[in-house]
Amino acid sequence: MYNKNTLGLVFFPAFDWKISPTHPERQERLLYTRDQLLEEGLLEHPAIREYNPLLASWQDIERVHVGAPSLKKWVTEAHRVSVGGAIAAAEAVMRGEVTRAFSLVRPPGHHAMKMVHGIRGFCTVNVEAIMIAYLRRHYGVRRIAIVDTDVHHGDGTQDIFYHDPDTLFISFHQDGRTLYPGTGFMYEYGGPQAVGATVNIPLPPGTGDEGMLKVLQNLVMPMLNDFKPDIVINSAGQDNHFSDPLANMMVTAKGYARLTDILKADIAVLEGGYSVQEALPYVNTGIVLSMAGLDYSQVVEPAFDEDTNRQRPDVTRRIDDIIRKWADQWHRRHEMQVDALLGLGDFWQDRRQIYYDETGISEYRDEKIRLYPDKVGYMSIDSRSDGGPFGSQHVYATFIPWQADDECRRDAYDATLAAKKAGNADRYVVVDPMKDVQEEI
Amino acid sequence: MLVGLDVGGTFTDAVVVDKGRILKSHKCRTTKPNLMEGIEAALAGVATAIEPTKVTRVTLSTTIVTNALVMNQVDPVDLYVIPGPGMDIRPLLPVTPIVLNGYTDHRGSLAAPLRQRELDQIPGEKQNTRAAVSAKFSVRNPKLEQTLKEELLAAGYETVSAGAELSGSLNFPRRTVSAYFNSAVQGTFEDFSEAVKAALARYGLTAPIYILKADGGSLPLERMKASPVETAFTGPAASVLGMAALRSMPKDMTVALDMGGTTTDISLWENGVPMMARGGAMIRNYPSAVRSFAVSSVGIGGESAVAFDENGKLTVGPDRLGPSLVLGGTVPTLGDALIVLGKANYGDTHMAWQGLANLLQKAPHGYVAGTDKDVADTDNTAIAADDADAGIAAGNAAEGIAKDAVIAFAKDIVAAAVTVITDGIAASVQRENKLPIYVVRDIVEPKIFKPEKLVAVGGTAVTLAPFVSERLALPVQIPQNAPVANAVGAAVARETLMLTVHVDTAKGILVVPELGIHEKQRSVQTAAQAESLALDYLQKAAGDLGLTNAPSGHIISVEDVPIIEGWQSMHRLITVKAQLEPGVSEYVQ
Repeated sequence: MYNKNTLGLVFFPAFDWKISPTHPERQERLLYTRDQLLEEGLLEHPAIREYNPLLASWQDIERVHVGAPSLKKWVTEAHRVSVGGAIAAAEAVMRGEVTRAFSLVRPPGHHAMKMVHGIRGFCTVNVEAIMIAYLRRHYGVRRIAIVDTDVHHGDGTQDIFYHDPDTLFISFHQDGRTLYPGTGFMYEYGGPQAVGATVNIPLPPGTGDEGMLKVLQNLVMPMLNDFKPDIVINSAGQDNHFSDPLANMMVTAKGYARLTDILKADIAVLEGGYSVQEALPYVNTGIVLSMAGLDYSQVVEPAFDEDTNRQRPDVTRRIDDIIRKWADQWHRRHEMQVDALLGLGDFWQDRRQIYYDETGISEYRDEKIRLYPDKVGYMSIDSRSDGGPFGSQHVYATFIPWQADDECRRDAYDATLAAKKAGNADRYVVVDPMKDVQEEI
Repeated sequence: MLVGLDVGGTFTDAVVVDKGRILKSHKCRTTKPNLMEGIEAALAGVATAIEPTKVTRVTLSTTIVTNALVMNQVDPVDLYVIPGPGMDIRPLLPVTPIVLNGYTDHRGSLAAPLRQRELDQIPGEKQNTRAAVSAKFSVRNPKLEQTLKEELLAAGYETVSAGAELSGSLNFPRRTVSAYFNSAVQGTFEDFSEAVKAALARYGLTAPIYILKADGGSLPLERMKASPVETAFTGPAASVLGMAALRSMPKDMTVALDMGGTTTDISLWENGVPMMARGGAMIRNYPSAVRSFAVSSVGIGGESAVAFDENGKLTVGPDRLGPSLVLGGTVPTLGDALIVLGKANYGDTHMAWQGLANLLQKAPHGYVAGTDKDVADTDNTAIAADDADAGIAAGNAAEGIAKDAVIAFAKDIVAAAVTVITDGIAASVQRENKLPIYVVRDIVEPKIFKPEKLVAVGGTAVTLAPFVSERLALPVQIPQNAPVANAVGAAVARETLMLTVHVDTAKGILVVPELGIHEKQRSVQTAAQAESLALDYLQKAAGDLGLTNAPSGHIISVEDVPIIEGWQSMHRLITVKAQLEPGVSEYVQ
């Protein structure tokens, strides 16, 4: 009757975890989704196999993040289960037990960056990034594409992979001039050794199914086709929905299901989406049906009104415009890459400030990338913060890339030791994800 | 004084129990298709022990509904569904349903009403006299189902089953399957209950008649006419209750094996209580909402046929092709192998040696007996040397086959059978341990079922169970059960009832789907209040049925989730399930 076990599903609603009682990230968020999935009978459908989440190890998390003052001060067991859900989904796919997997878990992660000084945009650790590091460490997966379909720019994921030419990060989202976190513009297209590996597609408020699917088919799919990833991951935020209280888009549950159907991601991981009653039960049902290869044509929200939910013509024109501009930028990415490295020498440096909205903490970073002519170099972050519950923090962290060879590793350690001699940070840390190492120097 | 009747696939047993003692029992053949003959014969066998005025209850466990379902001798049913938006349920159903518009959402709000135009067409759609209705989220608001049920009765249907009346749990496809099959077996059950009442009356028995359900509880016969589907698959329930009644079950996490002639039934126990199937029983491969014990079967029994498959692999079961060779059968069986190993001694034992030697002679090239090291060396002293020599010598084809080779072959056969059983146990345990993980606590402190003991019953238990015990390195108990354990289980089965109370404090709504209640109320605001309300409803419902244990209800699950309306006001969604627990009313010696 059906292909057996087409979809692996991990469901973890964390009914005992909240940021605060009235926060959008509260116990209730996946309650109605759970009710809908149970009532539809989807968790025991022959085409779907359910998996338990795991409790992710600290080692898994330490491949990606450095905490200030420490990860253990910020990361709760709920975060570890959420990450463990994504890892369980990835395992099910890699072991060939299912064709695809969906990790329907909370709390979310796509605003969490390499350094963790607090909570940003409801996120503490980056669920997909930790899962990807796990896939590279345990399954040797090289080329990975992430398509972030949350309404907010996935700035955490961008931060983590901005200098990795083998990880294509595509995020389409409501224009950062109108929505948190205020980033994700076309000119953020990847670091000097990874030009074109970050693709930000800001969309105007009022974008509906029509515009979103056009971006997908005319821009995202051709990019994936060019990049040729071994694995496609969907950061499956659901807040482009017309009923979402935190954003201004007009996408429907069926639109999300159609997107899922076209994208055919190997692994999807839930991100945001805060219309917990009117959107999430239907969007998740649509995504689950779509990923399991089942008919989703009857997924229609009771609140849907065709007349009030039509994409305006000026919105369509702006979307057409950004598609045109990005198609052009994408074609020029190789020459842009050559230009980016011209005259840079051995290092590229940047200075940034990052705000942790949930905890009112500002992080100040000095970033440094070691550039080699023939390979990916390490990144050092001299990171300071104040205003947090643990007082002023100063951590110097060096991230060795997963592609590193012995020379890159040696240089990374030497640079960190030299920084320690010269500097006055509280901690000096080296992260080597493929060696399962995060150590204090 | 209690009377228990168990109508099984092969035997019909009757037992009379008084003050924890079996006064009399009788076993006779089950008569098909007219089960009443066997029931009357069984009753006749125990009639001398029955004092009609002292009998307080007669309880039946019967395959009548199971047989009707398995043989597809059921009434045709018009199935009406109100699915609303979501998954297409039609491919999951046993018949093509009549689909109506209308929708209740996950909070129980009416999102779209039934359409008068569609209701007007019902007389034209009507093909049968029985109907079933099922609406998505009817357990959050049974109104659409109830309205449609009234319309259908008005349109001339004799009976209409509604999904939420049969189960208060979320799962629209399962409730729909339950409602459909419930209507399909109603006629069969009504005929049967009339015949049973008449038969018992002939023995002067006027005590209340109870019927065993798949969840191991019993309810009055009259009440079960509304939900006869719940009396399917009571065989395992009676066996499980029998084990409990005869104090066979330890408190540890226990795997119980009922080892019969064709199959071994596997159930999991904790604290002396058997575990329930998650979701419900399968009816003809359709998952239903009928609560039942989690019993799974593997095709290994004393008379499982032994053969080599087309790949040259040694197989035991799942086929049974008649009795063992020692009892005059034509194909070697697991029982024959156990005789060769000296574990059993019945029938014409040298036939076992001869048959195994013959089969070994015809074994595919490349098969070498005794290479399977899963069976440790057994004590060979019990092996009857004379039988061996005589048996092998008698089989002309088997000339030159050494006795040791036949023994090694028999060990391989037992090892293969044990592997099927242990795989079945592993699958059961794995299913049990795939629990929903809803809170962090579930995964930080997981409740894992890890078998600590085996209990084996049934005809093959004594000979086969020790091998399973050895393989799993778990101790095994083989209780000396009365041969009528199932009838004993039925006789002492407790009455059970279960209901759900769902409170939405934001909407001020109270729902009890099993009772068709959906009403405004503002007084229940906490989980504790919902629990006490659930127990009140349960006691009242049980009292209305005249159940003796009405006050003994308890809460089996509570979900209490804080919710926010309009970002500020704090409310709660509370779901409580209360039940009269299944089990035995008294232990029996």
